[in-house]
Amino acid sequence: MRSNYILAVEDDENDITLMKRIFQKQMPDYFIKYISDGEEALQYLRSTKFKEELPRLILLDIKIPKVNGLELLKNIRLIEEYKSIPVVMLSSSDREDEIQLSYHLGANSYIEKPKTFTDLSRTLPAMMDYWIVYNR
Amino acid sequence: MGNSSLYPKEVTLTNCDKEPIHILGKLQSCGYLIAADAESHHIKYCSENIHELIDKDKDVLGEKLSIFFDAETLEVCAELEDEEKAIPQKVLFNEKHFLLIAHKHAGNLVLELEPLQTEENPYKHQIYLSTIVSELNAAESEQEMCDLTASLIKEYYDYDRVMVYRFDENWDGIVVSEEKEPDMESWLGLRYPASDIPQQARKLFLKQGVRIIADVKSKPVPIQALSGEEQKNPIDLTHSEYRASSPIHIEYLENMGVSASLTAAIISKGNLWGLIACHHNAPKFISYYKRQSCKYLTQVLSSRIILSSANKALLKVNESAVLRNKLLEKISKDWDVLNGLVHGDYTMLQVTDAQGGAVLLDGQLRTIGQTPDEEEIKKLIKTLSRSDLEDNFYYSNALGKDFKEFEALKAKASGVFCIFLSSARKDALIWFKTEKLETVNWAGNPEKPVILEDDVRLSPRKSFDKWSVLQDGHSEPWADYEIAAGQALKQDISEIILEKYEEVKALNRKLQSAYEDLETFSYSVAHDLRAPLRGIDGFAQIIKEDYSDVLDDFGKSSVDTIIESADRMNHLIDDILQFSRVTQATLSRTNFSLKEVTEELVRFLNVSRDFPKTEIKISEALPVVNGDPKMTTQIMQNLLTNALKYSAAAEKPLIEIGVEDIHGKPFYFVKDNGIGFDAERHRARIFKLFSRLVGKEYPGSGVGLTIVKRIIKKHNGKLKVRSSPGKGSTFLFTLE
Repeated sequence: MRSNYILAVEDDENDITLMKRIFQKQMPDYFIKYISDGEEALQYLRSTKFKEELPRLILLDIKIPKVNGLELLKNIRLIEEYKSIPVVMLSSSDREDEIQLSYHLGANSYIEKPKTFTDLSRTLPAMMDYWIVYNR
Repeated sequence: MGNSSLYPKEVTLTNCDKEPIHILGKLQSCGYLIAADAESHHIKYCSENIHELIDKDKDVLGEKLSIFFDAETLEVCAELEDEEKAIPQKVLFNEKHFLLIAHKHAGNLVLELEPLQTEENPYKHQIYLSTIVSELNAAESEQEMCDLTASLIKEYYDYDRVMVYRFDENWDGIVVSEEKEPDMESWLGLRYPASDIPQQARKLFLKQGVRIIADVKSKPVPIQALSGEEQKNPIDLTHSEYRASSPIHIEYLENMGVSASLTAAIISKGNLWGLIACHHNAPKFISYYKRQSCKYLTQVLSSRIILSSANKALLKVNESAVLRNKLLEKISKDWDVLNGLVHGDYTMLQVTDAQGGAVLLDGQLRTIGQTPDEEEIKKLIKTLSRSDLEDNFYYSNALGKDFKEFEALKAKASGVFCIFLSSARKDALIWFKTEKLETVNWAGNPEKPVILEDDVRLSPRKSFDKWSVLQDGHSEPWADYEIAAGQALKQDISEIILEKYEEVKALNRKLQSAYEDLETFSYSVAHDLRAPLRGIDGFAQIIKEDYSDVLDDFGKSSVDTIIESADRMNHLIDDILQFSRVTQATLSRTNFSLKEVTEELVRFLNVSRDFPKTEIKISEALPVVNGDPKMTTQIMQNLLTNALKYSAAAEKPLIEIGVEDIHGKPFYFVKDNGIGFDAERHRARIFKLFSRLVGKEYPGSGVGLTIVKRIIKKHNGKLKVRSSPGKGSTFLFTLE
């Protein structure tokens, strides 16, 4: 069984705070686990191999310290237990090559970071809807 | 007899150019000739008058040379190379002294005998010569040298008339110096048409150097040949001392009243520069040694002339090189070849002696000095570019002769020197020389060098009376150094242009990379601004939602202002990103319906919700267009949002989107009935980045129209605007 949590790899503290608030308000059932650098995220993934501990969804910022989001994505897809977990890339850029590479490496979705908090509060629940459909 | 069938039966002036004068088969009566096979020494030819020296009964033809000449004499001849003359030897025939002049030519050993009239001391000539050489060396100008030579020869050889005769580029000859008996009419300055000395005669002069006709009236002596091969192949007398002259030449001299002549070739750089021509009114024989002295004297004159003209040219070349360097230095400073060549202290005009100059570069023409008008110059260059030119340049001092259609330009452009900068023959340097009217004095009418006689044969003209012609359409000729200087300038200019091109290319590369850096920079800056902005907006929203009860009215409005400002900032970032995307994107054209795209756009922009008052009319005539669909949508979006924005305040906002035909080209347009602006004043400004005509009441970043302009430019399209304050605006564009 997967736990009711979402893993968000994100280093912008403001964004973390804002996302937390959206999740609290709109999806109070979910617990969010935040990790702020790529290396730490990788360690975390390797240490959580029991299915119960696996996240429902992974949100990956591309520009994160130490190991970047794309590198992290590549590693996630190498871990057997993580192969089926949906990954949503979250990026401040809309570079075509980055988008293509993300999908190539096995991302399930790619969204440009929303401009405002208001946008984010619309986007994240939509993303979760997607996840629900995906898991069906 | 020795008259060969090779010799045309009827030599007339019409075929005089073809007259085989070196194998005429006759000898002047003052000399004797025996020719034998160079190997076997069997005699093959002899002049008929040889029997004046040898018994009539005795056979000459077919005999061996050793019968007539001693072994020592023949030994000298044995070592001769082809076309080489032996040092003359004294021989005795019938107790008379003769000078034997032997040479080898085409397998024949040709022995010519010249009577030694008085005992001559050859060294006397040498001593005399050394004194005149030093005199000649002291002469400075070409004219001085020629005058001196004429007077020395007159004095020494005592001909009635001694002339130095110079050929021009058309082989017409002009008498440049003359010494004569006082009672004779002067021919100085007279011009003789090229036909007077035909080309094969000029060729012989190059080989022979000095030649005499001892007695114009004496009958030439036929040369006998052995029967058979020899009769068919007359002996070649190219190097003969006493070769008889062509009957036409004899007639020519007779017409001039000349009884004897001496001619010496003045040769410069392998070409016939001119002749020393001596005429005598009575028969006159000049001995071999005197002839040799004359040859030597002429050689000294030739080399002095070469040296003098080379020095003169060198001086000019140096002078022109100095000017050219200064000119180039100036041009290299500001890279402006076009103006650099014709403006300032140093110009292309100084490089040659021309009176006018012009440069055509990238279709632009600049002139200096006296030139035809610009259209004429362009026409001339075009004509020249299509002509058959060697080495991509053309020069003439009588343009109208080569190109009848440009005869009218003769006042300013009788002389033209045009160099194309490349074989593409688009860009050119061209110099002009003005017309120089000149009176040319011909010796007799040059238009009638021949007269018809007895309806049978043409003969040389009989009148050598001065015939003056006013020569028009000619300029001063182009000197070698001018041509060389022009070519050197062309070379330098080409290099500068090439260098300039490389420089511009390098600059473009730098600019390109700086531009790319700037693009990346603005793109990433815009992106990086998003994160803090999201923070500002997000936390302001939190304050608004969760803490509004602790804020007073000013606090609440402050939070709203923060949110609004963040929103404006976000739009600005959007526009900048959009702009940089448009700049970076490559155009990909396809056919699509502009009408469909526009209708979709209206739906997408949610016009009916956001601008309920506004009516939008989309013309049915909007066609399928060829362009980049994404970018074209962007154009329509930017124009439409502007139209919506600026017409919103109108009583009945109306936006029309359609197509208008302007000079056969479809212009697509977006027209509104909004506030409008003064198009005359602000036409340029409205398309500038971040430039706005309105205040904060109309939100916007001033990027939208810049993007429109960029996209249309990428399509190579045209953009027009019609507007006036209060009357709305219409933006029209094409996509190609």
